[in-house]
Formats: sequence, structure tokens, C-alpha cells
Amino acid sequence: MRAVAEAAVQVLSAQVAAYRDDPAAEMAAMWRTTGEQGWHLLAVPETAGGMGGDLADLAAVVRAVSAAGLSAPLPELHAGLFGMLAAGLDPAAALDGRIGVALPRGAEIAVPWGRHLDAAVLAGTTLPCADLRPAVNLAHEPVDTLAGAAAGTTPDPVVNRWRILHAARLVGAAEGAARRTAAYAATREQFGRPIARFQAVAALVAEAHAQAVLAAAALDAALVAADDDPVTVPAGLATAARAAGVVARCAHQVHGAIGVTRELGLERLTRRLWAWRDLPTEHELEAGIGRAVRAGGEPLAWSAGPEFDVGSSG
Amino acid sequence: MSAAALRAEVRAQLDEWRAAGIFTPRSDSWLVGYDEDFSRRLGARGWIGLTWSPEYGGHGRGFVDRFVLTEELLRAGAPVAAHWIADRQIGPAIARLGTGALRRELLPAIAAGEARFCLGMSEPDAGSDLASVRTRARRVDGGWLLAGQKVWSSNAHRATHAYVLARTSDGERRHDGLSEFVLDVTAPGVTVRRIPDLRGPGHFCEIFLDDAFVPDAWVLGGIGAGWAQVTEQLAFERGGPERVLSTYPLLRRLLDTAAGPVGRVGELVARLVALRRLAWQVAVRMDAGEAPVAAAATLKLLGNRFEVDVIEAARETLPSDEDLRAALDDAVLAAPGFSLRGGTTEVLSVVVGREAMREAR
Repeated sequence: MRAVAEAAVQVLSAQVAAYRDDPAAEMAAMWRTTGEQGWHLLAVPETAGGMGGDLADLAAVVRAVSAAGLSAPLPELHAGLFGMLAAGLDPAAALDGRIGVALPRGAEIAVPWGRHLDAAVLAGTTLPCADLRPAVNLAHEPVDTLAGAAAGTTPDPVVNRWRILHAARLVGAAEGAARRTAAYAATREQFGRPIARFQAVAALVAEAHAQAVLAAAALDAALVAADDDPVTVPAGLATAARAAGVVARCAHQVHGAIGVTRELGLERLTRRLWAWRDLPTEHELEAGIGRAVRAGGEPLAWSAGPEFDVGSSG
Repeated sequence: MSAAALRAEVRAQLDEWRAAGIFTPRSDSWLVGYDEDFSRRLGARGWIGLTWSPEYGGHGRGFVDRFVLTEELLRAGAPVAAHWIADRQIGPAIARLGTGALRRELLPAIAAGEARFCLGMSEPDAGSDLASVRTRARRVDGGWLLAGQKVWSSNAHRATHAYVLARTSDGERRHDGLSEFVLDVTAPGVTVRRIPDLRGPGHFCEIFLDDAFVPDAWVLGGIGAGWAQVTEQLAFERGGPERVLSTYPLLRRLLDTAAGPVGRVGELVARLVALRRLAWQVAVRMDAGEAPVAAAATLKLLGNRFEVDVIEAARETLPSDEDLRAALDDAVLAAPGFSLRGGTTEVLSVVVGREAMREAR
């Protein structure tokens, strides 16, 4: 999977260079390239028109792409295809990268990358992506909306799929930002020594690293959870979203003023961390987990843990 | 038997023992839940020394299995302190580095819940800075004489044996010349004194060593190799679920009462899932033969924070029921130790920061 991830980073990076200073055009190119390359077909059986592989393979690609400070609608296009197949609908448009996912949120429905899509999957059916209210997030990515709340099954396996890959997106950017922060602290000198030699600075480096590690563990757990899991999957995304905020804060504090410049490029990671942690926020997810646990009690909270037995001695 | 089957079996047994009044759940049970009979019960079930060779009273299972067992024990708040240190780190050190005689004599006794260990690491002038230990071991015919003072040795007054880190020579670097010993605490020259703490008599003790004898066969590993060996021990000491679950019995009550703001509870449960997975990853790496010291430090850093946050959530939400109040107070008084024992948060932060920079190179 490493080769696919590296290729994805390379191909997308080349596109970004061509669209500097035109974020809308950059995002259109990211969507087009993703669909053309068909990376979202990873983790879809070959019999269904996919490329085989499992969800962890796809998550690894998503992680590498976001660690490089890049946008790609991989979680949306994959969840869209997964949803079409699960609902027994014709997957042709989804295979081409023209079906995404609809995320109910209060009185409206968010459709990330909606403007580029034909339709979005919602609770076993499709919503046409016409008449969307256009909006972009802090990372300049399109997150268009439709009016109207929709009732669906909770937890929805399609939404869960998207959440896992969206968590992978956050984990990748958190890892990228934490790594850059550690490298910067180790080399940037002030008062005649690398700033990492100051324990207060080292503590920020450690915090960023630890949060990225925790988010990666949360993703790891979500990847082996059941499709309709009510706790582990939202927990994975909530933990990644929380980590995102902490990592971004530590990263900017360690980098000082140079960190906010476009020239340095740290903002390509931190803008994404801030954007992605908002759809949905950790607060929304945590309230959902709290409600599920209130209904299921302590045994649910405890059993919702990771699939510990995978790969252990039999 | 799979880990899942083991989990179910441990859970059922603990439920039964709890219902029969054999133990009362409490927070921090791996340090203050001291019950020698309970340890013998676990030993009889084969639940001490799970990872050791059957040749020495163990069961030849993996660290993931031990992880599952310890998780369920901590979840239940079972009194496991009497055998915890021996099962977690000194037993494995003896299995790895001990002489045949030491293994044969002690491992089966530990596995039966009969031999109980305390740690002789810290000293009055060697806290976080462990390499500055001054306890000396002097060579004599057939063994070594230990002289010095150890402190913060939990439950030493009830232990049968102590692990002691001592200086056998003065190397050029202060990390050289350290060696590890297993000491019979009933030997002449060993005096144990309890240190009352904020809860009363408490678990802390100091150990005075006045030429206490250790036979050659009870030296752990190589003379002078103590620093490298004790560093490896850290993965065992820091990387377990007890660095996350010390206050789990309190959280369990909170979840059972279905009280509290859903968001706060949801946040704790989400973090719990991630931390448990992290601890599981450490166990998987230990099964692969690694000593994941940095990952263990990261787990402890984050886990200790969780343990305290459970208390804060309980303060916010628990009703003023007397029994619950007592459980909360018990956890409050235990909490200062969480981020000190086994490496302070500040020291761990340096370890984790260094690891982050190593990975970023």
C-alpha cells in the first residue's frame, strides 16, 4: 500500500503546484484527479468493480495524503461507493467518483465536495447534488449544504465508513504537523541551543507527538469495529478531532511567528486540522457516545473497546 | 484458549467472587488493594505469571493474554497489590535474566501468590534521577553485601522479597557500575519501616540495608549491566493498563448510574477506547519481542491524565450518596501518586519529546 500512498501524494502534489493562489481550482483538480486515479476503489471487492484490499489499506493512503498537507475527497467517494453497493444501487457513477456522502447535521445536511458530485448517499437512498448552498471550510475545501434534516438509522454504516476515513485524514495531518514540530524544535536555535533543550518547549513537542499517537490508536480501534458500531467508530473520530486542536496549537506555539506564514507551509496542515475537526465536532460525537452509553450502560462502554482478540494467540 | 475466552472466564470468576463478598471493588486496587489470600486465589486459578514458562509455574501465554487478564482485574477493582510488582516486572526480569536456581526457587512461588515483591529502586537522593543510587554492593565470598537506604518501596513491610538496584563499582559514567539483586527481606541486616501518608498508615516504606547478604545466584543479569536492564524493565512497568484504569471502578459507577452530562461521559469513553487500544498495542509489541519503552511512556503520560479526569467528571456528576462519596474520596487521595510513580509526568514528557525528535529525523 506504501507504493499507492506515495504515488497519490506525488500526483496530487504536482496538481497543487499548478493551482497556487486559486484554491477553488485546486480543489476541483483534487476531486478530478482522485476520481480518475480511482484510489477510492481500494477496499472495494474486485467483484464489485473495486481494487480489493481492505479498509486499513485505504486509510493508510488517506493518512499519507493528508500528512502531506493535501486535500482529496477519498473518504467521501469511498463512502459513496460503499453506500451504493450496500443499498443495491447501480454503482457506475460511484465508481467514477461522482457519488459522495450526505451528513445530517441539525437542520441541514452537509455534503462535502457536493458541488462536484451527481448525488450523495443518505440512509440507503441518494440525494441529488443540485441546488446546494455553496460553502467552503477553513482549508478551502467545498462543504456544500442542503436544507432539511433527515431521519436515518443510527448508527449508519455508510456514515461510519466516512467517519473512519475522516479520522484517518485527521490522524495523517496530526502526524504530519507533530513531525514537523519535532524536527523544527530539534534544529531551531535560540539562546545558543536548539529550543528543544528547553523543557517547556520539549513538553509541547511531546504533547503533539502523544496526541498524534493517541489519535492513531483510536483510528486503529475504529478500523476493526463493526459497521454499525455505536461507540468505537465515533470515538475514533472524536479522539482524532480533539487531538487535531491540541496538535495545531502546539505546532504553532513551537514554530513561533514563522509558523503562520504561507511560505513555511505548516498552515497547509493546521488549516486542515481546524477544518476537519469541525465536521462533525468532537462535541457532537461525544454527546452521541454519551447517549449510547447511557442506554447501554458500563458493559457497552467496556465492550465497545477495540477488537483485542484480532491476531492474538488462539 | 483465545484471549476472548480468557476475558470471559476472568470476568465470570470476578463477578462470582465479588458477589460472594470475597472482595470489594476500589480504585487504585493494584497498589492499595492488598490481599494475600486473594493473590493465592488468583495463583490457584493460574492467573499469576501467565506469560512465564510452565517449567517455572507459568502458563506460556502471551502479553496480549496478560493484558486482557489485567484489564479485567482492574475493571473489577480487585485487590491485586500483593502480587502485582512480582507479576508485572520482577517475575519477567527473573525469567529473562535470572539464574536457573533463582528461577526455580522464585517463579513458582510468585505464580502461586506466595512470594511477594517490593521495589528497591528509589533512594532519598535518587528519585527521578535513578542513576544516582548510592546503595552499594560489596563482593564477599559467594555473594554480595548490600548497604544503603531505599525509599518509596510500596508494601515492603508485607513483602517476602525485594528487588534492589545497587552500585557494584564506580564507572566513568554514573550509568555504569549498577547491578540488580533479588533480596530476601527476612535476611539479617534488612530493616523495613513504614512511612505514614496522607491516607494514614499507607503502603510506602523505607528499607535500610546494613550488609544484607545476597548470594551470587540471586544476581539478576550481568554485574554492571543494571542500567540497561532496568531501562528495559520500564516497558513492563509503564506500559500496562494500570496506567489508565486506576480510577476505572469510579468511572464504572458513574456509567452505571447513567448520571452526568452525556458529552463529558462520551469524551471519557472515547478516550478510554483509544487508551485501551494503545495499551493493547504495547502488549502486541512485547509479544513480538520488543521493549517499547517510548510507547509505554506515551501511554502512561496520557493514561495518568485520564485517571484524574475521571475523578473530575465524578465530582461534577455523582450524587451525594455516602457510598459513592467514599469511592470518590478514595480516588482523590490516591491521585497525587498517579503521575509520580513509575516516572513523573515531567520525566516522561522528556522521554516522549526525545522519541518524537528521533522519529522526525
